[in-house]
Amino acid sequence: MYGKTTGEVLNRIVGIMTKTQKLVHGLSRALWDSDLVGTRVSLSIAEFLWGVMLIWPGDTFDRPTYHVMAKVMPEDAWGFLLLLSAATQITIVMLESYTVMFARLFAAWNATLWTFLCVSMVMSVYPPPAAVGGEFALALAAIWVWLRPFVLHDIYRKAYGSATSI
Amino acid sequence: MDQQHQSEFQSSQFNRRAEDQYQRRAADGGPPHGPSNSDLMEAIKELQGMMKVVHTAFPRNDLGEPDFAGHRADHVARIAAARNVEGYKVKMTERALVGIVAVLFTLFATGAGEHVKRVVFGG
Repeated sequence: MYGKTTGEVLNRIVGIMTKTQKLVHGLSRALWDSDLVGTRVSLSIAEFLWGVMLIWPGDTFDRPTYHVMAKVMPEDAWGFLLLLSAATQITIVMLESYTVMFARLFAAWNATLWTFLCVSMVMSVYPPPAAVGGEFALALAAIWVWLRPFVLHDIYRKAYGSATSI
Repeated sequence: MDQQHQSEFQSSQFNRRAEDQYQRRAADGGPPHGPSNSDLMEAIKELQGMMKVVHTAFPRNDLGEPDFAGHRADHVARIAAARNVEGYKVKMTERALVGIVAVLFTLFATGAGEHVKRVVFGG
């Protein structure tokens, strides 16, 4: 900045602000305008793999990480529950019925399930295992799948309510 | 009529037919002045028919007429609403980003920075 004119500095600031705006717009499109089909497929695959690993022979719940989950249900029950959830999720994707009431209720259940899985693992051991980072991402994704339609509904209601006409 | 509208009128089907009739009459040795009254009446009837079809594309207003002004107003309102929607989405994204940056800043300010320094520099 030393030796540059005020105009050059201002231009540079405007340029940085424009690039920042572009980044924000890009992120906004990724959050709001993308479809969530890939997210649902990832959740379905994750639930399927969780289910398979819990049903796998051996006592997975012996590990301290699953202490809280073990108090709620036995390992095999969790396994079947997760497999059922995976099957339901992939069925919703295949039928493309994302907006029916059942799919919305299932999204709420799915968000609750993943949030519980993450919170239970964090509460069971300290410090939390590094791998739980992936589960946290899936929990956030499941919450977004449930929450986004409500937020968009609110946005559209406000936008059409405040749009002026001649 | 300005040049753009004149060229559009000239390229219309109606005018091409009138032009064909004029050329045929001129070739037959007929009057070179343009279409006859009956040709004009036929053309007007055809235009009226087309206008009726166009009118069916618009809803009726409280006077029972095609609501041309309402159609335009509806488009203006929808464009404004779509712009509002984009604005809300970008605003919420910005707020989310600011929130995340604020949380990270708070974490560093409350000692996470010290922890990182200890880990990285062993001090």
